Amino acid sequence: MAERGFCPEPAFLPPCGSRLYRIGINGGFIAILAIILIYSILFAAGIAISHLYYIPLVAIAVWYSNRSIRTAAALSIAYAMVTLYLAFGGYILDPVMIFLFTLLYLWGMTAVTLFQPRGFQDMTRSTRNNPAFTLERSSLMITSATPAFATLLGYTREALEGTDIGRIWTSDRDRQAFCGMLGRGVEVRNFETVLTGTAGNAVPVLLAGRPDQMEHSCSALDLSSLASYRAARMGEEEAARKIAVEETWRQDFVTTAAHELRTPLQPVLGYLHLLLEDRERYGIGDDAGRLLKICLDNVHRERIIVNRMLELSLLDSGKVACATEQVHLHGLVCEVLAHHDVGSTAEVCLDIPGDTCISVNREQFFLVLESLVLNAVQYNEPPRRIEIRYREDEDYQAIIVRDNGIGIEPEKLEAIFKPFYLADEQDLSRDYDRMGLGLPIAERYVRLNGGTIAVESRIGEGSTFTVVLQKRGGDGT
Amino acid sequence: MGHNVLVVDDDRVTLEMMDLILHRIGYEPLIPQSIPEALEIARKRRPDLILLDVQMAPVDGWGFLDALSEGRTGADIPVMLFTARHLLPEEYTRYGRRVVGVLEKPISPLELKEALDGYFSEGTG
Repeated sequence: MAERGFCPEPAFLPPCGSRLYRIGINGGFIAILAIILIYSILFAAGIAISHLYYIPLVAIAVWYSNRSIRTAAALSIAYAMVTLYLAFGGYILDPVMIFLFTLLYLWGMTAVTLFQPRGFQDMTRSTRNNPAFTLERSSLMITSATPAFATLLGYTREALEGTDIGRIWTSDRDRQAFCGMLGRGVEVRNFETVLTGTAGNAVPVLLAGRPDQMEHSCSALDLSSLASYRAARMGEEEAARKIAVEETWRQDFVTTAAHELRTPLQPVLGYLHLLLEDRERYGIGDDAGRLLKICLDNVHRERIIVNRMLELSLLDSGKVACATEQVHLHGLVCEVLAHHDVGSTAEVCLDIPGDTCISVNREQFFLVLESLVLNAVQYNEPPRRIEIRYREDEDYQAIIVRDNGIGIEPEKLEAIFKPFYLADEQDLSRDYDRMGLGLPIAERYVRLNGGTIAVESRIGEGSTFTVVLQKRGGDGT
Repeated sequence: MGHNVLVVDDDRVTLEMMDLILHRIGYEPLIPQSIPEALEIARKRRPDLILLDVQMAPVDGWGFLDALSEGRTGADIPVMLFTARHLLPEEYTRYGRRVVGVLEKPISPLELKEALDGYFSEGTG
């Protein structure tokens, strides 16, 4: 059965280069014929020159011998016609000799077409590397096969040649249909069927066949490799499509969830502020005020979590832009420390030259430094000590945040940049007021700014986070 | 008397809360009961600013803005988007300078005051 939309070029059909080659051959023949004809007429060379017709005619018989007897007959008649034309042109010709020469040509050309080696005609250079074979018209024996076709079925060429075609064909019905069409002189293309390999294995192929008087020329396209390629390709595309769909769904979910979670928080947040800021008006006592303050703190906490979930989702979706500028690192670090009054809870040691500049997005890097500093403070016990240092070489800038905190177990180091991963489990996270989103967001912002972040840690001694940025066309200072 | 601020939102509870808070932080709230009423108020009262929710039903914030733009009056009133949805800049840049800011819910009264004071001090100063 033919497959629509898939039309491989049969191996025996001449490719473009071969077509040009044949045009050259034909052109050469026609040129020789024209020269002989003109020479005969102009110089009255007569019958002697007509023998030169042997050259192009025999050459045609060799090159197009697949047309067999009909080719030989046509060429002989062509010779007779040309000779007669010369006779009518006034040349004296011996009819007996013309007849004998015509028979001689007919015999010669027939011999060339009938007795040349089997398979010679189509086993041209262009087909040797492709799976192709010739099929004897009457017996349906494989008369010749290319190494590629033999390999495809797991045979040697010698074992395959002389084999009945039925032996390598799985379906008799397909075989009869294919051979029947060739037998009736119908050229076949895109015949999808299954052949049988030497081990009894099924070999799906796409066959093409060109009928001929003696031998049919056939070529095969290995569909097994094509099928597996297509299956693999379709599998990859399907998997990629699924991942994209799931990712879109996840982002839509997070976006929608964030909206649905934040909307009801607005009145809660607003009213709690009103109640706490105007206690007298609403008759709020100290105890009630304390409870309301707890509620407000938790609403703030939830707001931060939802916002960070959304932020993380947007970062993962690549929807966050990063416009960089030259930022004074010392000033930015001081801003972060002041914003959270870190100095009141930890001893901070800064080792950053005052003129140090980094090429980053200021707001995003504020969040990165904020996350690292808060991590150093929150995962720590007094006396807290935080060192923030800057180092550089010719190509890189490094910002190092080191603490003397509780440290992270080595096997958990890689996971701390994963969302909601808490190195010290849930109980400890409550103690330390952690949400498990700060470091993942910081890591993504560092990446967005073209940098990397690494962490080293020892239990009981503390952790060191190192942000490395590649210098961008300047010395960074 | 503070600036008039029209709040367009489809959540009744949020509207009530905004009524209280805007008064408290020194602004004059205009609280419509529906989108058509919001359009009418915008055209007749010409508020100094519209605080506009985006994700509303049956008409969303963009639909409200488009409808307001079609009228003879009200098309030039500045709008501050006030939404629980995260908006990408490309979603509102088509409205040009009309959109003067984006506030993401939930927002505290202090943050709201800072945003409004900041806008009006820029506009008047």
